[in-house]
Amino acid sequence: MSLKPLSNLTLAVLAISAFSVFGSVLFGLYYPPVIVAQGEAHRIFYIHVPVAWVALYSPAAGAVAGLLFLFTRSERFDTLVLVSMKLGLLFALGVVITGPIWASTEWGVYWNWKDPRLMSFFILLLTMGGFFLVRGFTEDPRRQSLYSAVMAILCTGAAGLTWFAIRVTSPDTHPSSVLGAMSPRIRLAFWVGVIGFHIFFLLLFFLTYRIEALRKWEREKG
Amino acid sequence: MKAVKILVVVGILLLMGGLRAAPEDEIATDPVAAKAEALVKLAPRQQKDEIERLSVEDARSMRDYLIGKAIREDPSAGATFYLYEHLASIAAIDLAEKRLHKLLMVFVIVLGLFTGFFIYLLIAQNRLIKRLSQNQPSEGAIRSSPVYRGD
Repeated sequence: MSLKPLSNLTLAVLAISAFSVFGSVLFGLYYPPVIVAQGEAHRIFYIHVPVAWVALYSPAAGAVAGLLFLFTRSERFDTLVLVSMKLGLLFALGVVITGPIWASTEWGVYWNWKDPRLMSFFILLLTMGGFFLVRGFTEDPRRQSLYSAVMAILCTGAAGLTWFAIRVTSPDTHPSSVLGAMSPRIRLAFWVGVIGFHIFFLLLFFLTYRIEALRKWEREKG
Repeated sequence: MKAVKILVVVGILLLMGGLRAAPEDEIATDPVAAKAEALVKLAPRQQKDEIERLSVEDARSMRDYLIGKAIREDPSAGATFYLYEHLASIAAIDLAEKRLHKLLMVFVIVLGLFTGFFIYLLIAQNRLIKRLSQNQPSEGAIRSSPVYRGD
């Protein structure tokens, strides 16, 4: 493996991607109108929902990589599993931090243990934690990769449970899907946030994969 | 002079009578008045839903209409509404401030989380590349090695 520096074009793309989150957050701050019932606190929506989407997609990407690892036993896919789960955990932490802060203004409580959507996301978070525990406590590298692939698939099951909980169960406190009920300005700001956070996710994915691949190479070199 | 005073008083009375337009006429001609009257007749839950759909200008106009109507029916209500509005604005400003604090907290935490992770990645990558570059032998070291290489 050679250590090539990043090209200028790659650096430019990375720099633009790094600002995608800031740009989308600022856009959500200034462009859409305020929802009177929630005041300025409703602008948390433009952060919370895109971050939640990425937190649900990332384990799915890890599961695809895990399945590919199980079929091919290529270490590259194990690295992809690890990177997907790391970023999934990061974004999931973002969701459980922003959600209760928003909830405290909207519902008056930080967390509702009886809400199926909140509980399903909590289960997802626990499953992600379980992934890192299993990976950390497995010493044999081949078993580590195998168990990681299986855990990534389990995490995706939890992510799917959360996704459907938002759409299938009747609302308790957490709102149901609002995709169809937004005004044009709110919808535009929402999609700008989604795109911004997804671009940022891709940037983090690129950098994290690079580091994990280098670390793996360093370990193999001895 | 006395006649002038009587005429002034009569004129003021006529003006006040003119200002107190018949409510039915006002509702028929003014859409804001009509909307406000319709809103008053709704149940509280429906009122809440309708209020959330109002624009700021409509809400302000309807508020002015309803207060004006209440004062016409009871002139002493003016002082009560004045007091209520100022007290309610204190509560509204406090609520808006709390919501803004929550929003700023979310911004700081989320941007701190992602920016912190991004900076960690850049530093970790830098250290790793430095370590790997230091562990790799240089071209000169390879050429000057005492091991016979056949050249």
